[in-house]
Amino acid sequence: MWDDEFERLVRAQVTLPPEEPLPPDAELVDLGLDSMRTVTILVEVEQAYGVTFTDDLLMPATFATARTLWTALIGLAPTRVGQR
Amino acid sequence: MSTPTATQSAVRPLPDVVAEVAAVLREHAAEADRSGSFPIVSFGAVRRSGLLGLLVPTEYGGLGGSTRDLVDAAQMLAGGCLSTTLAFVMHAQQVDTLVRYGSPALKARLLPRVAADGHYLASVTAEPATGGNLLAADEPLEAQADGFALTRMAPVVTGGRHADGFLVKMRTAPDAPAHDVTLVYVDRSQVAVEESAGWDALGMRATENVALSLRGRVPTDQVVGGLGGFRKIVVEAFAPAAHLGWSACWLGAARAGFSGVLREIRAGRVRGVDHRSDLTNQRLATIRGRLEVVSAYLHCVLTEVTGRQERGETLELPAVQIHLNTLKVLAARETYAAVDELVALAGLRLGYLKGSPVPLERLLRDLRAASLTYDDALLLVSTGSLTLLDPAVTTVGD
Repeated sequence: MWDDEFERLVRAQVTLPPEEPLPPDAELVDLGLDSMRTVTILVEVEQAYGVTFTDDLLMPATFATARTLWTALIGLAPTRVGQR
Repeated sequence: MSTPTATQSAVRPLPDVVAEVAAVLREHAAEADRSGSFPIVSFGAVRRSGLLGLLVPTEYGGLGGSTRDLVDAAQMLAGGCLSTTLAFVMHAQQVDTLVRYGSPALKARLLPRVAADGHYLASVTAEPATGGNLLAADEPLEAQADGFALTRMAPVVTGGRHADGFLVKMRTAPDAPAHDVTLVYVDRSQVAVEESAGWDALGMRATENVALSLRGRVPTDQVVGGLGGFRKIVVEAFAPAAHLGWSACWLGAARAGFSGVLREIRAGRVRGVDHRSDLTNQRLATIRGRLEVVSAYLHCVLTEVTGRQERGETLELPAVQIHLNTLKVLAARETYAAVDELVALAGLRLGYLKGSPVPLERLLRDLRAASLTYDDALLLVSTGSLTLLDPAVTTVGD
């Protein structure tokens, strides 16, 4: 669904066994995402993909799951993200 | 105080009830502070007045009050005794949480007892392994047939020796991660309680924070907000009620101190303070300004939070969380600074001695705890992160 960079950046901020793939629809807060880790993902994703999340995207819904975050990222930079 | 909504207000308006209780608190505050033990007399007055049921809906026999009623009552009561009022506000925070997130069966059993009998609820969040991290837990619930077993060390429980029940933060299960946290109601009758005395603090002495050990089991319907539901409870109810209630307490206490000093100055009883001097007036204006800012911010955040709650909107927006955190930090700092300046203004005799007609030395010691009551440092870290999620800088009232 998403590229390796995205998987790496999100995984680093949640609690997940190494062998378990990042689930697209699990609530990230249930995986331990707090406000500081949310900001870390935001900043690292913005820098890695050269995008800026618009203010209207800075809502809990955007960071709810890996899928919602990836969908928002594709909307910002459809040509810069690689899907696998 | 807002228009009374309570059932008993048909007989007696809520502000009158609160004023009467505040007078009892004022009379016994010095002794409660001296003894460093739970304020039996003062809390008994709160209990007899029916105020422990302030936030209990009328359908359960309570006063059906609002968060705004709580904020108003807390300010007035804290002018009498800050320790007693903080214990009252923390009880109200537990009631608010139960009303919003308790199961129908639990509410039907418990809330009438709170309203009719003054069943007193304490909060158990801190624990040795996770310390002040509100959203993490260590000791787990253990699922059994028809319920859960729990063993819980609680190092700091306000009023813990006198509480009739506890809302306890637990890890959801033995194999759950630390951030998977569940809130559960535990009645004193359901657990073996071991108490360790030893609260001998600089201020807030009558809150009598003690260490407790709880061991027992509870039925499934005493899980509050569902398994793993604590984080949502914190965001939507637990933290807002605490920050609004605490801030109201601190503001009410500081206002009472300021009021007392103003009356002494007008009566010409403050040695060396001339009401015609520019320095005196500048000091008075600065102190008043601190209290005005806290009051204004408190009421702005109160309006935002209650408005969103009434419309069924979430409080989980960076800006709203920033406002709630900022309120707590601002109120803690500014009320302490105001009372510190009052001590300077009032001088040694009125400002620093026990037995002064205005209890500024107790107020200063009590308000020193404000920034430590859920540590400002932790809140600032969280708030700082949240600011990066609100680059539009949505200030309160926008």
